[in-house]
Amino acid sequence: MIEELVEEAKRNPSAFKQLYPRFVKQIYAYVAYKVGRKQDTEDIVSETFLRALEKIKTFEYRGEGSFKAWLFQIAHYVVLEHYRGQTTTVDIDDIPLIRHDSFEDQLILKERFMQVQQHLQSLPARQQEVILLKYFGGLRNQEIADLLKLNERTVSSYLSRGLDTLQTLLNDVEVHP
Amino acid sequence: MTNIHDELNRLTPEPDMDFLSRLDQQIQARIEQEIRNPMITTQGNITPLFDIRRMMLLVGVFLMVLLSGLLLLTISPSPEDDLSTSLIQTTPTIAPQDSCEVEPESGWIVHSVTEDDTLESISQRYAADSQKLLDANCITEIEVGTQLFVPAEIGYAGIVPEDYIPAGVTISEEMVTLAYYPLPPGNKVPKMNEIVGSVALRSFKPNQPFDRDGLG
Repeated sequence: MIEELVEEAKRNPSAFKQLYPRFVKQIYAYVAYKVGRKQDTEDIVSETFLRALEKIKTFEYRGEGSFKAWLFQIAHYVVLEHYRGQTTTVDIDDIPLIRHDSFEDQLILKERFMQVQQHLQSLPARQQEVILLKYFGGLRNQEIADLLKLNERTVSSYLSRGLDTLQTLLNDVEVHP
Repeated sequence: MTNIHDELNRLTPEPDMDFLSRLDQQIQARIEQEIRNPMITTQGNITPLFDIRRMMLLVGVFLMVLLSGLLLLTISPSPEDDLSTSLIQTTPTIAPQDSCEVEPESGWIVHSVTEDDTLESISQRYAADSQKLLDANCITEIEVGTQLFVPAEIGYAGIVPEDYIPAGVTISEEMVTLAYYPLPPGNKVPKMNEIVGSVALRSFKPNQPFDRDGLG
């Protein structure tokens, strides 16, 4: 299905309108964790999809997940171009909306997101990337390995080490608020 | 103690409706921009006419031709040089007759030959004469993988995907639509169905001799 849409969009850009909405939420969540601020997230997500539309003719479909992986790759580069390593402090008002299935208050969710996002930022870049691609990109370990040019075992190890560190950091916050 | 897996699954930032509709508008605008400038390339894709790579390729080929010309000049024998004359003199006199140089001109198309291509299909696609096509590339037959220069005298031509045909232009089903660029001076192109910006669209019946003369 994705393959057909991708091939169609290569011939006819109008088909891109059926294709991109399937990935907006995942790309958005991934970028939001990388940059924190709502406005920056929106700019980067827009730029990612516009660039994908422009470059789609050069994309080669290599099985399920390859198109999504390609989009994440573009998003990753767009983030790098915008930030080049600098970190910015983010105000609670600038935080994107957090999905809420329960009756939890947006403000509490946003505060919690800020904490997790900042802890994620403190992880080594590779660990951070693997966690984002796994949780918000919905990519499988093998797909992450292909994308980051790592082997699958390394991906698993980055994932478990990163999550352990995050867990410790979050517990510390709970113990010493 | 909060479990990190639950926490990550719970805290998913999501786009709001305002942003989604703005994004949709941006994408739509970019799509329309692409459609307004239908550019024909090697594989029937639509890309900018003045593609930078194409320009660089042409400039590169031009420079190579220029350099080889200079090189020939510098090594050509001088009449005073008695020793070398006897050795080299024959070369320049024979070379011009047998040599064939590919000298692509501005506006020519570069086509990568694929397995599905035949000389006829390429000629028809670009409305180019097949013998001229071979001569321009100094070859007698095409091979898969060859970068073929297509001497498209009237500019770019290629089959336009249905969706590129602008609204209001009716194209009969058994017709194929071609696009031409650049337009001749004054945009006066006989027998054209429609002129969209700097591109002219024209329909013709497939598998029939292509009437080049009707194109001004």
